[in-house]
Amino acid sequence: MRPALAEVESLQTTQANITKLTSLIASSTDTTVDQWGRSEEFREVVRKLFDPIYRYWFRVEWDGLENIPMEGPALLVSNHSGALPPDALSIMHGIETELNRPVYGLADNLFKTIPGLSIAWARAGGVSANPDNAYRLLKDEGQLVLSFPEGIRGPLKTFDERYSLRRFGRGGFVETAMKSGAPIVPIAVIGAEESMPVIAKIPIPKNPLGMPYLPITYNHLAMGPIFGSFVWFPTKIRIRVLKPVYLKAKPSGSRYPRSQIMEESTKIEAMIRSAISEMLRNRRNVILG
Amino acid sequence: MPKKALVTGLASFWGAKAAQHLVDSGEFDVIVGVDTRAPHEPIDGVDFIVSDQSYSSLARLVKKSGVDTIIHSFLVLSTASTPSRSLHEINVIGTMNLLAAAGQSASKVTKIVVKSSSLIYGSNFRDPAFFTETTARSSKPKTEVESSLIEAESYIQEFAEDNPYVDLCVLRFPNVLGPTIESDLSQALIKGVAPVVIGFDPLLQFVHEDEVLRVIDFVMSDSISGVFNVAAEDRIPWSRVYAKAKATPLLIPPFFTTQATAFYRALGVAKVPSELVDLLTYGRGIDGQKLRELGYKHLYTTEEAVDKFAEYASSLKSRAVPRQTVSIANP
Repeated sequence: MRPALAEVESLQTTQANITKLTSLIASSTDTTVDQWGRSEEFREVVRKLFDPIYRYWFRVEWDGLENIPMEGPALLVSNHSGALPPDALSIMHGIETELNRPVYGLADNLFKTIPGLSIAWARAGGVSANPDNAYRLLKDEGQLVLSFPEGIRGPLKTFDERYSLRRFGRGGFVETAMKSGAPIVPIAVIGAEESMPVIAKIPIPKNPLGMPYLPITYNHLAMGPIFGSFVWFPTKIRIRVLKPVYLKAKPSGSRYPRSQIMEESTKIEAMIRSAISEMLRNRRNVILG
Repeated sequence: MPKKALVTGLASFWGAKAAQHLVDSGEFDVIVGVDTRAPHEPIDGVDFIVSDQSYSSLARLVKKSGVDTIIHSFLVLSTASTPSRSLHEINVIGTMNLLAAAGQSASKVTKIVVKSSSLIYGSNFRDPAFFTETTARSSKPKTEVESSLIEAESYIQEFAEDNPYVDLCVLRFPNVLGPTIESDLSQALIKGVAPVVIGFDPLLQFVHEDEVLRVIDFVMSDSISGVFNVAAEDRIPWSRVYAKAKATPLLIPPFFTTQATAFYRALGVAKVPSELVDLLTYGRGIDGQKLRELGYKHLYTTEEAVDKFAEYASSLKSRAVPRQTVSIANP
């Protein structure tokens, strides 16, 4: 009887948390919203809701968490995968619960155009991936900023392309780190890729959400069009934080040599790639990790 | 040396305020105000001169009167109240003629203060959280008011390059709140209505109307020139603003916004021009660091400006309630 009761109880708290979440979206009168639109109160509720998924579904395991500075700015750079990528949520959740430091997640500004989601995303610590924003967060506020240089190309790669990193943009993240003087902390994630693997991408014409493709996933095949869109497979997620990279550049410069930017970008990409392949070699299987 | 000032748009809200302020300061011997129509009530100590919308007669006036200071407060900031044709005449051609008059060889003008707006940055989902004075817009201007401000400021920029001996200050303000200001947002809130785009809760900055003249004062006093954002550091969500002002949300669907706002306008509920819809969708932040570095201290933060305004707005409401009960008691 015991476990069943506990389950009912946790379900009730989950329900209460979801109600709280919607009420927080509807009105921000009682919350303290910072100048990025982030609300610690909202973040707290998101953490409570995500915690069971983080712990029992993905069983997230960290390695090298001590490489994340306890104070001062750092640009966290990670690979990005899964049609509905669980990596951003997991990294933010882990660092915030373990180190008690807020993480601001840079994301495509398309989020800002979707009614409802635009509020929830900002309150949960999402910031438009604009170089000015990242610079301000690092330089003026000394925060932790999480960036996915692959952008939307990461989650949109199909299953046969898994763990092959996409181009790290044009190295904009390196430039931002150079300008702000913040170190780059590379992060490698495995398991997110298989949590919602893309089978095919259906191109969709111009739409209000601005999505280029509609991903069809294995989750859709297994769980149908509705549940398959947001229920992940219970893969084991492993996150490895690599040694911080301190860039050899004078902060606050107006421009940096393109060659130096690309060199650093390729170096960091290679660090993440080799960490991923090592982690994959040591993995027994996708579910148990 | 006697100081002489010229104020544009004397019959407008800011023109009258600025002219009155100059009279009160006692620093000017002659204050001339120009506008297309006479002010509602004459201001003591200000000479009113009628002009056409585009200030074509200003060249002679500046030469004859020998003014040394110009406050250009007359830039229209809403497409709701002014048809786009005259908006262009006032903002672009008016500014062009004013600057041509100030730049002629016989002119004695040494100081120009322009009250501009943060509308010049637009409001778009691609925007950074904060615009500095040099950050470029991330989208093309969508409304006449934005494009006219861009054109006007480009004339101002050219003028500053051609006339380095003139101290030219451009002040870019965010939305102004206050009991008397005639802005779409301020008036809607006073009426107890808050336009809300469904599904969006943008972060905004506000300046209290008392702050505007203070800033003009500040840049007048010294040989300050350049473009300045005027805003405190904090931004607050729109939902908190209208909760404080105890205004009822007027829901605007995120799609078919133009139709919805036209409908509300026809009903006479609120004027929500499309530049305001954009602002209420994506918000905007401007970085006022440059002005603060010159030593300017803000009167209020955004939060305090909103509180002050909310106090006024709710005092109106509490006064309105007894009046209603009286009318019910004595029909």
